[in-house]
Amino acid sequence: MHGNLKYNPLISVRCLNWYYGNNHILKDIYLNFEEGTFTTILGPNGSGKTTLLRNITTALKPGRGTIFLKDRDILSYTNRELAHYMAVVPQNTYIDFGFSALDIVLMGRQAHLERFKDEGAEDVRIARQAMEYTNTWHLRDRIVTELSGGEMQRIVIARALTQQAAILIMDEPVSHLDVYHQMELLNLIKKLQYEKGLTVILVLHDLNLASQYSDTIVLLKDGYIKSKGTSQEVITKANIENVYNIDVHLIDHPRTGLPYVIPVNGMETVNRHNKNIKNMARLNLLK
Amino acid sequence: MAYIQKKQSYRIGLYVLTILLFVVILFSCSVGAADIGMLDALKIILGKLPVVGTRLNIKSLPDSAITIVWKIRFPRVLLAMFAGAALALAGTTYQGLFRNPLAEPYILGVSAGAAFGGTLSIVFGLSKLLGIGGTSLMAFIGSVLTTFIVYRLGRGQGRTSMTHLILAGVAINSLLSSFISLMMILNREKLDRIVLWTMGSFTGASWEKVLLEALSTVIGMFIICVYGRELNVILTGEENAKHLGVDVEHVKRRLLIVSSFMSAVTVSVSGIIGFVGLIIPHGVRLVVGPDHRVLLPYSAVVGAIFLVLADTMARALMPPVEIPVGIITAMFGAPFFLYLLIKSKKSGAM
Repeated sequence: MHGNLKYNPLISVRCLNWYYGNNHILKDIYLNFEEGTFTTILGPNGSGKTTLLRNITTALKPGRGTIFLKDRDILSYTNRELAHYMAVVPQNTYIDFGFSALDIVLMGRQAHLERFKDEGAEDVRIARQAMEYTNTWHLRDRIVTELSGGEMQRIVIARALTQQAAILIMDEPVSHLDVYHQMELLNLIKKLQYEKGLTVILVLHDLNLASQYSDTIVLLKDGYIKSKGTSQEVITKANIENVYNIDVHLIDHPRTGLPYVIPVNGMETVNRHNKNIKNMARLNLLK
Repeated sequence: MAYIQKKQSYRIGLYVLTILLFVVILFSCSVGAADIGMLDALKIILGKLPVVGTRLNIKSLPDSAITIVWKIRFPRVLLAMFAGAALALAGTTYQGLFRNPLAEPYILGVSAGAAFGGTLSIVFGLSKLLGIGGTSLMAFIGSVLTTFIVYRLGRGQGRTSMTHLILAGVAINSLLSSFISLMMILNREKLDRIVLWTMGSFTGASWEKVLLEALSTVIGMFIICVYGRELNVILTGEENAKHLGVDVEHVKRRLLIVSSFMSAVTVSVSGIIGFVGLIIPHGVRLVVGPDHRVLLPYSAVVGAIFLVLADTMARALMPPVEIPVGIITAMFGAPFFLYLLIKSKKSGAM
């Protein structure tokens, strides 16, 4: 850093602690999220991933410590102000009411609209752009209760884009999608980061997806940050075996050259069982 | 189709419904023992208005007709109209806030509290002590107090839990019902009056009641309709709504207070009229969809039409016996509602 040039991250988490009753869920978290980066939070079940994410979105209030957004305590923002900065896509969006897809996407304009005004032509234009981007414009008149999981997820992302916020936060966006839709969605998010300069913060379960797509990975274990950095720095044999308590084999992804995790835990046993089962089947056939 | 694409046709639909409401009002004013035509009823009503009235000559009509329309039928019709609008609005709001199509205006104890207050006043003769409005006053106090208690019980740690609210409402409702039953058993000679009062009726309509009900309904309607878009967003989940920029706690608190107050006033002037607040919002939603910017005004007008018609039947079906209007709303409302339900299931609209 040179002289008086002050450099500040977009979001800065300082000494965050969070308790659920007597359980210490998050322990002394220090984290910076830089503008325009793609950050993935990884960790086993119960390691505090979602809790950390929900502290950043202010769905939960920090027990101790502070989160700064643009150098201001994030809790001092009103919901409306916050919606201008960050768009949040929850793990599951289940809407039981017969809104059309365009209705739902236009809800992204809520924070931009004056009290007595309805959405105008400009809002529809923004919504249309977002829907074309996420390849959902053809679904605009469909009732959302009839959409598939993947379609709904893309509608909710279109709604997030319609918010025109600089930060996109998603909690396990792909965990209930098949592999085709997983790739489609993450490719879309990567494209958003690249073309629109969005800052992306995700929680993922899949180590390999995280490794391929992220600029920065934060690996949590029991509420601590076990490791943070690039894929190569975080996705190491030692880290994964320590945090997930499994044996793994690491290779480089043939296209990206980034680490790819193959779990090998107990695979010898499985292999032996498989062989025995085949042998038994052969014997049965001979009878 | 999205709301904004159909805004124009929604507006026209609302005009048509409003005209229908006026026709229904005139029709209701003309129904009864004394034979008065709809046109004469219109003349009498217009003749009593300040500006238009001076240009209209109603001297040719018999005084008895003027008295019947202006002093008896018209205030009663107006009371039913505002009550119907208020109950339907409160029901729509509750169904939106609770994201539950079975929510209704009485869910937070408004009716049980009112019935408890009303029963107390009848049993202890407070209706005479406090003048004509004694029972209404006690019912109002009862429902406001009960709602307040339920609301306090449902709140915790700075946020309002809708599940806690409903459960607290159920518990308080059954507690008060047991008290009411006890008082009924101990005062059998007053059983009739208590039962009749709780069934709801507009028999005691007066201009004072109309004014009170009109004021609370119009103000309530204005405040609720302001939050139409927020209610839509809340329907998709409270955390979602927060992230989209809605101050969820503020909206919930304000709407709960306004719609509870509106229901409390309605119950205290008319007794407990069930079903309007449940089926009107639901039925309207089946037809126009879930957007509250359409749903709220439509429910208000349809609720008004429905209750005016129901009350007309209540007094005209078996004269001189008056059927409690609550019986009519359920008897005619339920089958119509079922029809809508079956129809929407067939067309797959829900």
